[in-house]
Amino acid sequence: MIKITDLEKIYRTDLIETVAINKMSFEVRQGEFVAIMGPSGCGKSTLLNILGLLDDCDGGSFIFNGQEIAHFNEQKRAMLRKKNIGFVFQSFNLIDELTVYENVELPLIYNNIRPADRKVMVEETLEKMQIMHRKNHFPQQLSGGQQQRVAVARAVVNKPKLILADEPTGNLDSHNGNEVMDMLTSLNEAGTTIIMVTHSEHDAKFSHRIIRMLDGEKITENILRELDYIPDTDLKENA
Amino acid sequence: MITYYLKIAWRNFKSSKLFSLLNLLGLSVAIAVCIPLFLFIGKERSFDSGYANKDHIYRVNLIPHQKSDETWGSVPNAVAPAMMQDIPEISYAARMLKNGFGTPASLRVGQENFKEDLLYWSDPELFKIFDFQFTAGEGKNPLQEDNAAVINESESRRLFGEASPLGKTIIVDNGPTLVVRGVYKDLPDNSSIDPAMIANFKSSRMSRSIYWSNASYETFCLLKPGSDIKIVNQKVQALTAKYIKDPSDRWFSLSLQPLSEIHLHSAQVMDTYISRIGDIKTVRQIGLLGLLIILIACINYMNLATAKSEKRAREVGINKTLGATRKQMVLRFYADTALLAFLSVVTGFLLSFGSLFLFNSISGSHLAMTDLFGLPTLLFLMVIWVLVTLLAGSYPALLLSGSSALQLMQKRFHAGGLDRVLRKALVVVQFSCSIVLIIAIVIIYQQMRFVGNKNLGFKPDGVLMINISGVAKAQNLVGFTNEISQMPNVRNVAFLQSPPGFGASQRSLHKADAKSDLTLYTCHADAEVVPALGLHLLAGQSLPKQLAKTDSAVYVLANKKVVDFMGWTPEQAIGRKVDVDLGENAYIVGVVDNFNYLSLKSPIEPYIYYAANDAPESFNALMVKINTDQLAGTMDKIQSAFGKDVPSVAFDYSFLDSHLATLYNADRVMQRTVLLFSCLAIFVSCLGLFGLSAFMAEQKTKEIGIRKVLGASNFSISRMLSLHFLRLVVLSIIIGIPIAVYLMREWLSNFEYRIHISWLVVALAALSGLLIALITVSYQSVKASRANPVNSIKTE
Repeated sequence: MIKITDLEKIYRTDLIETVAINKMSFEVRQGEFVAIMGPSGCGKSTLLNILGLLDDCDGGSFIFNGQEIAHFNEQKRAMLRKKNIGFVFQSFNLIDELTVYENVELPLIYNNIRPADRKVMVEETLEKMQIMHRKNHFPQQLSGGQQQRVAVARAVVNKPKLILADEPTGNLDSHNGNEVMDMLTSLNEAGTTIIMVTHSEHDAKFSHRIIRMLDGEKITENILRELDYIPDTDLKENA
Repeated sequence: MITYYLKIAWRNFKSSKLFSLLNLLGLSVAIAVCIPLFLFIGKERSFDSGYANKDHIYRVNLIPHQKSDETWGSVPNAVAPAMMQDIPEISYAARMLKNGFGTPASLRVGQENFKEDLLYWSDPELFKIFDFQFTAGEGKNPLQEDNAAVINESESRRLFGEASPLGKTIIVDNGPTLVVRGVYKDLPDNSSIDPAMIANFKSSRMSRSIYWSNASYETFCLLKPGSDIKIVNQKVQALTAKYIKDPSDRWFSLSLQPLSEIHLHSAQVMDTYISRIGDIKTVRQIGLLGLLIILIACINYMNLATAKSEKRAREVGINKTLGATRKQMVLRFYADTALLAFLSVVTGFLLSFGSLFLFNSISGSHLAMTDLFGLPTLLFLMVIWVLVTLLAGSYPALLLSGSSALQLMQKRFHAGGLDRVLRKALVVVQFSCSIVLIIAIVIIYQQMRFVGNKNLGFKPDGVLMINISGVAKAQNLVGFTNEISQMPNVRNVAFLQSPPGFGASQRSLHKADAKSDLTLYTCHADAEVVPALGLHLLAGQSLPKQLAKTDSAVYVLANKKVVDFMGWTPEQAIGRKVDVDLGENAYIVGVVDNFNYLSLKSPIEPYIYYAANDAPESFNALMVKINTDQLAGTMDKIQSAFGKDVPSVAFDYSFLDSHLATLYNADRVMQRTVLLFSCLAIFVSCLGLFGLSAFMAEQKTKEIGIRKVLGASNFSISRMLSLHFLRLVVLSIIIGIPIAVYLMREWLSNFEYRIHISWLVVALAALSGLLIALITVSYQSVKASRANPVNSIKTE
């Protein structure tokens, strides 16, 4: 599903040049759950921003679903992003002025889904995330775990092919953290590709593979368990 | 999508109560102020638009050759007939002469007397030029008979009650008896001409001779459709050459002014009977002030919105991450502004009932409450709504929507400092306006006080003016004047052609060796004029008390300007002969110090009072100098004596000082308007400053906590927060002072006698602006400085 080759990201100021991603290459197959680990400042979040099409790269190749997108402008990236990618953030990033229902509905609005269909999809997702009873509450009225549940619901409501999770349990206690990880695992088992940045070895163990980074480079790659099902035809064609 | 935007906008409005209310209040007040201004401008621009022939009606103006910068609205009475006869493009021309050249008429209806300010003598053609709607009588040719008159409905009710006035008689100033032949609907109050009664010109004694000299007749004409105004103007100008044989008597030229320009472009036109005069400059100033206050309110919104942008950035970032396009985000922010602007428009509309009342009372306008519900007001509100939305919403919409999702979601988003620079610039713009307005208030107030206290060269206080133009002969008043002269509170009684402030006759002062004559003003008077007006005699004496019946001399009391022109000292002037177009035997008997008989906007002109048998001008006013200690009692006695001795004339009186004050009405309206606008503009600016200081205190909560932990005192914290804004206000003062001084010098240049702008006063005015700003921000600064540092540090 994703193949990056010699990917580079460099931050420049007047005085210094910082290489955030240094010629990094790896693949992620559809249905895979990949954890990216490394110390603070190693480039994990930068990599996730590029993979999530929030940021562009300065060099290398980035193939997404068989299409080279490294040269895409912001507008094209936004189109691709809203159709294919869901995000889960450490700080939940829910909109305070919207209710749970409305927060989850938001990606569907931007994807021009009809209101009647939106209602079905949102309610189905809220049921699945066991947060339906809180649908009219505002984020401030929820616990951290509940907020992250809503964030996950929002990330998956549009049935994206890929979910990017940036330290999804970072602001949660272990109980709520485990719940979120169970949720991500079951989504992955249902076929959604997940790339997760984390500091937690415990959380990383939920994945198929751990990529470890240091100073913008991939240093190791550990396969924890094999992917049972590989439906990624695009990748094969491009391989 | 729109529903979603509006929903989130409403929740945003509710969640930021302080900012929302500050914005709502500022914008509502601005809109409430703008509504009456809009109605005022609309009314001013609508003048004379109701006449069917409005595009073809012109007034004939006169430009005197001696003062080519002057334009007069009246011309000699020979002009209208000559135009009708000589110029084929003219369909009709009609003269309008206000009774007694502007002196109110005394009407006698049955046994009752009425004062009438709006009696005009006119030609029947007037009804072909302007469309009057007759509700009774002969509408097609209402002035067919020489003694015919028509009156408006209000006048009909006033003079005749509910009875039909047709065929009834009215005696004017104890002279001609008129017969009412028609009643017309009151002309709308956006009509330049405003007659309550129109009588046939042929009944006026001024119709007895047709001449090209005395220019006292307002003249209107109707051009045939398709006429070339340039050609007609040339033909009008050619009339003087044709009819005034002696070139030295051709002292003026003529020109046509379109009816559509009369109301707003005649502020400088002299000698017109039209009292409903506007000024395009005032309309522009009022429009500008309205825009200014809206702009200040919009700046508040932009400032508070940019201040909040750091908070809003994350939300926009999330939306963009979830797939929102830039266009959707722009719409999202405009929806925010549109909602607030809509609420402000509604609140402003409700407040406008009060502001309209306030505007009417300070400006003397008569804007109707019903105008608030008219289509133009509705359209105006919609335009304001869209304009405010686009203007105020532009910066947050374009700034935030243009940034990338990643930038927006960073912890401390700011648009490369641009937002902060802009915010500061906007505060400076706002306060510069406020400083200009504060200085303007002070200088206008000083000038008006100066005008009020200026020594005019005569003493107008306690001078009662009684209109006696309706009295056939001054001798008929002997009984009355004798009676009131005996009253303990009456000091002097003087007969005058016209009191100061009412104009006088213009004549020429000839001097043998001078290159040109001097235009001077003359006024028929008697001996009591000096004590009654408190004139200061420099040499000689007042006019003689009695004139022998055979005395053919003209006795002249001149002001110093006259003797200066002649090259004499006051003492040398006594007994000298002067040629002032009043006969060959005119002698100076006294010289008085210069005095301002018009407003202080005009320079002192040469002026003479004269006494003579068979004077060309009659006495129209009685000036009674009274002791005002027991004013009500004295007035009752004078009125009852008038009623007894002159039963056929209405008792029409006014006080000279009150009348002179009316000469500055427009300036006083401006004074009050600027005061109101300034207060509102400063209030709205302070709302913005208050909001910004609240925002800044909130944003700096952690910094304040850390500083306090490190030992900062409450005072140093509040000083730090206040200084941030006060620096901007100081910059505003530096920008505002030169602008204010420039504008005020322009305004003062309208006055011949004016104050000098004192830098101390300007500095004090500017300092008061600084103080207002300090008080505004200090509340938030002190509140923030007194917060517990432990809580402050916990906040983030």
